[in-house]
Amino acid sequence: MRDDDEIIALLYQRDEQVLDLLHKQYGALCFQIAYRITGNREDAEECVNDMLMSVWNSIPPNRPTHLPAYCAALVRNSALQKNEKSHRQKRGGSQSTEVIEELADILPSSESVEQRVEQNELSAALNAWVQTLSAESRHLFIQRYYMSESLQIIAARSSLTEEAVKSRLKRIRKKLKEYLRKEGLL
Amino acid sequence: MTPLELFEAIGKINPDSIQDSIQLSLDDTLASEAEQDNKAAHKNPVPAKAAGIREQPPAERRYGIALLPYLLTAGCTAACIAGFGLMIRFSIGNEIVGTQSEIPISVQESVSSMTTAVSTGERAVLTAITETHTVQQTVTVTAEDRTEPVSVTETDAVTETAAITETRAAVTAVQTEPPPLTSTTAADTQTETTVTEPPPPVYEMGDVDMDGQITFVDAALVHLDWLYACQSEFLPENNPDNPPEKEWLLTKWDHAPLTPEQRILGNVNGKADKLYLDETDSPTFPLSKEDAEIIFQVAKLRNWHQMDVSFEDYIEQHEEYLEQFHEVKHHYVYEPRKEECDLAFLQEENISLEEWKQSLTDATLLYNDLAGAGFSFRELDGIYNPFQFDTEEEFYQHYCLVMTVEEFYKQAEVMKEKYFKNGWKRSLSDESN
Repeated sequence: MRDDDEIIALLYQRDEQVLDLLHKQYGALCFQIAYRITGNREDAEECVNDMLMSVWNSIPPNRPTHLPAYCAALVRNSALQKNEKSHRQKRGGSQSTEVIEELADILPSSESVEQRVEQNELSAALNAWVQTLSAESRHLFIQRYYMSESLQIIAARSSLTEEAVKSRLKRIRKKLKEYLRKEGLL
Repeated sequence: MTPLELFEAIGKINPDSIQDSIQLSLDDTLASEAEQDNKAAHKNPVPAKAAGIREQPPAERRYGIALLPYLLTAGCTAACIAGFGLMIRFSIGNEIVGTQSEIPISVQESVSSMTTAVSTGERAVLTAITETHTVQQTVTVTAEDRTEPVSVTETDAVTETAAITETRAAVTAVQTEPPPLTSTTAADTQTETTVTEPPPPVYEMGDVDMDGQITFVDAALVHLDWLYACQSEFLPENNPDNPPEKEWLLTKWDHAPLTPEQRILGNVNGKADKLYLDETDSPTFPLSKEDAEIIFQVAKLRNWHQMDVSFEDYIEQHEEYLEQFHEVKHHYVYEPRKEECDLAFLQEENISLEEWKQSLTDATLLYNDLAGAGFSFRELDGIYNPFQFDTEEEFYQHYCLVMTVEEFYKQAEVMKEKYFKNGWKRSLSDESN
């Protein structure tokens, strides 16, 4: 295991060996995130490669404080883009489909009232809201809706039953709904 | 906004602000990798799960299932089965570590249901479906199996069923064949199949098993529904022209020699069957004492004044309590959590957290004692009635910190006097004045 600072230093030195290091260190995590969104091994592997390329291109100038979180964000976006292209999320079969369906229950069913709201505004609101959650709730929310982890894995990791995780997520979604309403985003 | 847009927006949350959560996933991934490497190094025959496919729980155990059924035949009814029992033993490697009592309930239930279907010479295929595997074993029952472990003649199939999410077990395909068949001991027949230990059974609303046992969630609903109805009936604004008679109240509430279970279920003169369960489920409600204890705790903790919400909403509000007591159901004693405590209040009153916890635990036990000693729910409501409090925290603080045990009993007597000695109407008019 290499230190993140060391990896970032190698990136700044443009040492190509760092890509192997990155892959070895965070490849599995990123693959799982991508796989849960795309539901396809090859696509997920491509997303990991895209992530490596993005890291290579963005560091420098960027200097993330937490490299795995940075990689996770990149691979997640890459997987979503790939998904969008193939419209795979509509066909089901991936963990993200299930996750997105869960999120649907806090949104208005018919008209998109929030067309006026820019995505960035929403993200900023989410950023602020996440900070209001307790550590436990934040972990649950991020693992489920950011990392697209399965309920089973979250339950095992949190020493809770799946049912407990489900109901806690439900309460968190309810809080999110209330928050988005309060912020005028719903 | 579509769910996908929301999902995408979540992805734009600043990674630095959620790095602790991501680190959890990373640690877990690395641990899984290390475990798989370790397995590979030891030439484990079980292939490592590919990333992205259902992960094995960390507490995964490999155990074999051996079936040990016993046959009992009655002399006067030679052709019939008088009794039959099965034992399941599971093991880690070759070492037997448990018996039937340690088998998950769902599997035990399937085994007991098998007893009604199998008799001497019959073969039965027992199918145990766990989260990741289906294990089938064919068992032949012989007369000699009365005291010896029954034979397991063949293992029919071992199928990976990763898609199965519900843990359940079933006994299927019983057919008659002439005995005897080859017998082997349980130790010899431990299956080499890796079976993931199933999670504890999950109770859901409406669950009623084959024996008519209602789950604790059902029982909680019955109980809460009943209390709600009774409270509504007792409230003068709901029943201004026909308030309950004193004698009726005394019969129902004061003198009824109820067991704790009956008190909890509110099964007074079949009252509950008017409210929630149909006739087939009432009036016995064979609830386990453990479950009853949980409901007792739930009832104590709930907000009584919020009963005007729908049942679904009400239960949702109290899911946390239900979960909490489901998780600690076999411990009986409620352990207060730090986050339930108003730390500012404690600081102001110069009370340590430990003292607070102890007070609450004492109060819990005291409440149980009172109920067991013949105090009715109504009386206890009077004592524990949080109508006067805005929050549950205030309620706890008042009764768990302000009152001593002696004061608590004294208050109980006062409430009893107020509601029953002078009659219902008078106490109500006193209150209204």
